[in-house]
Amino acid sequence: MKQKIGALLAALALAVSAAACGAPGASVTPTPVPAATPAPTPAPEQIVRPETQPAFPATVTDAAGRQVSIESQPETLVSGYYITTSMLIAMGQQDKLVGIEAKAASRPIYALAAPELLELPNVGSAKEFDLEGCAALEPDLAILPLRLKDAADTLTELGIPTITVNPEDLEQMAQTVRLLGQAIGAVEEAQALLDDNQATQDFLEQTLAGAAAPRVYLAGNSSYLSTAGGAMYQNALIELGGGENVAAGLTDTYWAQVSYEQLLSWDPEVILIACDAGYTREELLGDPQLEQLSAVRSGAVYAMPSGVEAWDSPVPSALVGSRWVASVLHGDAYPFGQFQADAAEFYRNFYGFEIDPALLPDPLAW
Amino acid sequence: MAELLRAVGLEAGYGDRRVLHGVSFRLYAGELCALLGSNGCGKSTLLRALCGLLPYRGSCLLEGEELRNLTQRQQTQRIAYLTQRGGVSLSLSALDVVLMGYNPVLGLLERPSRAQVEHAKHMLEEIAGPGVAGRDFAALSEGQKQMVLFARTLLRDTRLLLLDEPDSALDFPNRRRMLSLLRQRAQQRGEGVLLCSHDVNLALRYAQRLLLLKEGRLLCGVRVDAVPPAELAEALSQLYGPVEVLRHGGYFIMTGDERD
Amino acid sequence: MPGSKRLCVRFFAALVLTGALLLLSVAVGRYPILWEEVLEDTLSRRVLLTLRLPRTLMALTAGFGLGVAGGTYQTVFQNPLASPDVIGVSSGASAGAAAAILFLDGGLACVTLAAFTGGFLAVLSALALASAAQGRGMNTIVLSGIAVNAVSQALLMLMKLAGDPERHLAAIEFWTMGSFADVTLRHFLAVLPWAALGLAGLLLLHRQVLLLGLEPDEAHMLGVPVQGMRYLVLLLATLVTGAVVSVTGLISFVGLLAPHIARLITRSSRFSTVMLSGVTGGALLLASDILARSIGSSEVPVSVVTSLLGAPFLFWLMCRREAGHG
Repeated sequence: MKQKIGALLAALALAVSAAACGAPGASVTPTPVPAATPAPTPAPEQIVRPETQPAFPATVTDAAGRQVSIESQPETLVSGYYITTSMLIAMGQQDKLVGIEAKAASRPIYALAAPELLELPNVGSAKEFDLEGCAALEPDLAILPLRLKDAADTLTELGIPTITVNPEDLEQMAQTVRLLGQAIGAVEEAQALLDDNQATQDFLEQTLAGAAAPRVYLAGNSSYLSTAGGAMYQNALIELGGGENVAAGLTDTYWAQVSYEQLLSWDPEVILIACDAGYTREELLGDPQLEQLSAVRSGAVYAMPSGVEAWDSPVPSALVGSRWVASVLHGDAYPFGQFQADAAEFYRNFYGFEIDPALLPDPLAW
Repeated sequence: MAELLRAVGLEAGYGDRRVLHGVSFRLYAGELCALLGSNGCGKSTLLRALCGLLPYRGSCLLEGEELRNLTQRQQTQRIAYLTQRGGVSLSLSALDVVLMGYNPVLGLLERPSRAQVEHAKHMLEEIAGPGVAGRDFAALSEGQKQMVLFARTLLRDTRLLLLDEPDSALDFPNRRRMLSLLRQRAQQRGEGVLLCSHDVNLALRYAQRLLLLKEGRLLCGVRVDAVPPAELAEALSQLYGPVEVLRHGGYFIMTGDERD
Repeated sequence: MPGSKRLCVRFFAALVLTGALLLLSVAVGRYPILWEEVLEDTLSRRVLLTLRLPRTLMALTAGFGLGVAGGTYQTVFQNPLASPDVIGVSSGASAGAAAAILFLDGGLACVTLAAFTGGFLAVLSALALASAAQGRGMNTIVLSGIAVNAVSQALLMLMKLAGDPERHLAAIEFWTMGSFADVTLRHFLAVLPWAALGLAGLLLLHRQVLLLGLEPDEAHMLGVPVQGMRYLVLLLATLVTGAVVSVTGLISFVGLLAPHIARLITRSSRFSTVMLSGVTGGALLLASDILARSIGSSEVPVSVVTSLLGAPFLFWLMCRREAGHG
């Protein structure tokens, strides 16, 4: 009897995990387009891409594995997540937004690239999503973070097509961009952003090939005694920028607390301070417990600029963050001046504004 | 007279501490019996054991049936018990407090009938005086509270009444009224009453029999009208030290012995 | 009696107030419902039926349930300050919700179930501890509750420590402040049977609840199987609290306040007072929720409003009473 129950439980567990694994990340299933008329021969590298746009009605599979049908190209959008809001700006779709997440004022990129977004009604945060407020905007499509899956289901019940996204790392960020492009009929714009990101990634790899990777400690924004381990996006940020994350061995999926002792034993050569830190570089340098650190003694402590976008999260301009890290760590191979020019170009191309150089201060000028 | 209660070699206590050491006595129907003893001698413990509130060793027969074999419902239908401290700490009308007395004869979800409510009102008015019924119990004086709880105790026709110092907060007239009512109930309805009190004179005046308890042992039982004052004084002095019992107009009065 | 007539008037007034708040709550919200369209299958109708109405009914049910359960806790614990916290319902539910948010990366259904389970487990362990200690009286249960409370708080802190501040911590914090913002028809229907079951039990056993407010000996001799009845009633009250709290998050003060207001109005603890506690709780939560969703540009946690609304009202009633009115 016991064995039977055990077998049953095991079967159940298998079934559950299979179901869980079966749920894909974000993937796109374009509605098949009849291939009757001979289409212009696509360029070889375009074969993998979704073809002619827009392809509506479309059915997309979102980050929660939900199949969402979108009847016609959405004219009005609600984005309940800062990363997707920023992506929509980067894809030139900001005019379609009729509502965005709460606390928009804390994201400088909106004021720089699309100040009109600050006037839009907010639909709440991931903590408290405003279902009625969102319904009142009657968007053609709502985009919510995965953790608002329940709200997404409710909106769908109300008759508002809703997709969930989960951009937690570069790969998922790319998936999210692709999903958005498909869902709103902006496949080309999405692809342009993805291509640029890929190009930046390739460029950094080539430029930094062979350079010795300094040992980097990323000081978290709540306290410099918190850092990002190997399982976090920030690890990729450092590695792409040609650094070696001293905390890569930590498996935490969120900022981990570390002790002074731990930090002293790591003895990083460079300390990077995350965006929007609640302390200053001077406070860190002035901490007597840290004065023996190589990075502190040589003054190699640099704060990531916070005036544009939080580069240490998987936002569309995350790779600008990696460029910044590269210029800080490998100024000889990738001078800061070049970084400034590249960043300016990125924001010009995708966000349509000319960046004020004061927002990108030279960290070596301290 | 019919025997209502018989305790044989009753032992009870709290945890490992034994308070009662082999108490044996009988209580007859129609009898008002006063349990006397100094503080901490085990009076309350005895009453609680007789109620079924404490496990006991020995035997305790209620109308011939062993108390511990009766269900709680059977026990509470036959015994009315007035605790030393009645604890209604909520805002509740005095009438509602009295009506609680019907609970042992009501079903779990049953409410008191109209007739029962009328009876309770009548009882309350007779005992605690007119106008008390609608008042907030918590706002009454201690004495009034005791009279209300007393009314609750007399509400039903129970065979046995056990009262633990029901008169501690009462003034003299109310004390007398309470005792004479109890005496009346015992005589007219054949109920058996066992009452703890520190008021020896009131006990001498209204009780037919005194049970004297000391350090958990029953010293003796004395019929008040069957022994001469000197014998009463001798019995009582075992509890209270040297005392004198005087006869006054057919009743007895105990005073301290002034000879030393 | 003139007193009972006045009571009727007050009761009626409370009902009218609650009814008015109910209508107002249906009428007020972010979505501009077009009333002429609600008979057809329009967004207005769907918003009304999936969001507005369930939210309103949930606020009413939650207030009624917390009011009645709060009154029960106060009676059974013989303590006018007693609340679900005393036996660990709240902290247990919080710990359960936090666990769901943290480990199951919880959807609402998951958090709801976990909160309910947590609250219930906390009470069961408090009662089990109390009976293992073989203590008499309420103190043992209260002490066990404090112990369970402390353990749940410790677990909650551990989970907060392990949690990701942006994703988990915020969700946990928000849960402990309570909200009706994400109540939909599904949630309401999911907890309604449990809340109704608990409430029906408490209302039917109302006389026994009052008797539990006496000294244990007294209650025993009035025919109440004290221990068993106490457990039953506490479990029923926990069922109600747990069901409500699991959907709305912790809502402070209503369970404490509503019974006091009701008692100050009726000066009694009879059945009518229990009902009035419920009605008062319902009115208080409806009013709080209406404010919570309309005073700011985004929703305010409902506990903030209940406390700000309830505390002055209680004080006013106390002053009136001291002054010898009403």
